[in-house]
Amino acid sequence: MLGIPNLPNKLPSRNWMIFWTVSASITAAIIYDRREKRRNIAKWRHAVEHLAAEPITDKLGLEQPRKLTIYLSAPPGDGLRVAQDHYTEYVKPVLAASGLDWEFVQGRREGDVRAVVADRVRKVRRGWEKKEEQDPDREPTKDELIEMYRQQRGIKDYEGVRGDVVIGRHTWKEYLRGLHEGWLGPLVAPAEPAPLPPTPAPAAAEGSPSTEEKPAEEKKEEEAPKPKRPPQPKPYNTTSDYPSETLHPLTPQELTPAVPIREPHILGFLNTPTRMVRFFNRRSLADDIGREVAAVCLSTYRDFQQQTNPDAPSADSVQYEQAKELEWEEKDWPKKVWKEDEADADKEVTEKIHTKPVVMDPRIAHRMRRFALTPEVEDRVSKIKVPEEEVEGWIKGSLRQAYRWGYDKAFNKKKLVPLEDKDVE
Amino acid sequence: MFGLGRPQPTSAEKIAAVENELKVVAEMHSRMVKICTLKCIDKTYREGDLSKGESVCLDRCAAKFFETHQKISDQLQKETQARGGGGFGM
Repeated sequence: MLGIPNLPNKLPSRNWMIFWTVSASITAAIIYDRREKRRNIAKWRHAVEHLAAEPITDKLGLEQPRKLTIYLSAPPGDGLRVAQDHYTEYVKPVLAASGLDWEFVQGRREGDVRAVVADRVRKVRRGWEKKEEQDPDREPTKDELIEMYRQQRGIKDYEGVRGDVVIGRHTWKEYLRGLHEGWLGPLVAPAEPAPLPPTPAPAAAEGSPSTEEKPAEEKKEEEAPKPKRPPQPKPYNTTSDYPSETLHPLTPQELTPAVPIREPHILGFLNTPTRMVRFFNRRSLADDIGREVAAVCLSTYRDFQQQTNPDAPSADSVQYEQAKELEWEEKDWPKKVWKEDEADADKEVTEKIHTKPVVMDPRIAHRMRRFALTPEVEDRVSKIKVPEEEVEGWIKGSLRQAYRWGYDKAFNKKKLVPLEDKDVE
Repeated sequence: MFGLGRPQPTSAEKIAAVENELKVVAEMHSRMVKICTLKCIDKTYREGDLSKGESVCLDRCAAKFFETHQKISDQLQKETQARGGGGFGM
């Protein structure tokens, strides 16, 4: 009666109850987490989008925008794609909303990021040396051509604070090593030791480069028909050389500020509970990463801190904050990363950085800066309200769009715009 | 199009070639402006100056447009060369 169907006056059976409870709670957890993750990312987007709305001051195109550098590298035991996906999901939305420009440094093997970071620093140092050793026969590279073009037109480099976004503990370690190698190491590559007898004294350092040369050459000949990747440049100094090396007097007192970004990454069947817990809590990861990236975009930074521990032996007496950043990520790395297998060692890797502890030089450590949000910005951000439209999924979104379409059709008379005319001859 | 070995006066051929190239460049320019404006510039037009986000977007749009154009032209050239220049089989 009254059009209401004759529903039975009982609950489903016990088994069905269990099924519906479990599946509904899992679905609810996933949907809630997704919405909150979207909300957090949208909140940080709103925090930085005022930067994109600033008008550009020069109309002639003579000024460069601020360009960030993003360092990505393959987590130990996995491929680069994982890091790229992590970046695209958590870091890129906030960066895109800020209207900044960025470039990538991607490392496929262990040590690629170190090589590029060190090389860039050395390029800056070579700029100070002012040596005119250019061969006129050598063709200028694409970067050099761009530099020449910019010099001709009077386009100045960006003079403010740039930024380095380093994703993952593995990349952070390589970044630190590369910075030290670049600022403290020599400008010219040290002479290659002769491939004949590997000297026994600094066996690890010099023995491995000489033995690596021969298999590398054989591999190159075998792979000659295939396009071969250039070999990884070897480090110009070792971590033990730091105290004896001198810093150039023109070294800036503040290096480019950097920020390490979490990249939780764990593999393994038995780690499934951990992975599930992380999956259901991606909203907190999004919030953390959004906060760091917003600090990069807003360009607010602070010093790194040191802790002096007088009880520890002299070598460990100073604990650097840079060394402790993201230390917990190392627990997630697969065990085979830590195995010291010299025979199976990847011949392309010139120096193992991930498994070694971080060695910092105080001169470089005191010059590094870290992006961090100010309390005023945190205050402002906590008051941002994210509209439902940015948080909903595609079902609700399509229903909303369908409603809007219907409303427009029924109530809003649209002015007809004439068709665009093609190229008028 | 210009066949090989036609006994036409060179100057007229050259002029026609330059005209054609100019047309192609002009068309590419107008297409790029149209596409990048659609993609990058907000239609509310609150102010006459370009904002930083828009200018970065336009840079990227132009770079991608040229790169796409380059890749497709290279690919097309390779295909026409492979087929000996005769008959675009479609």
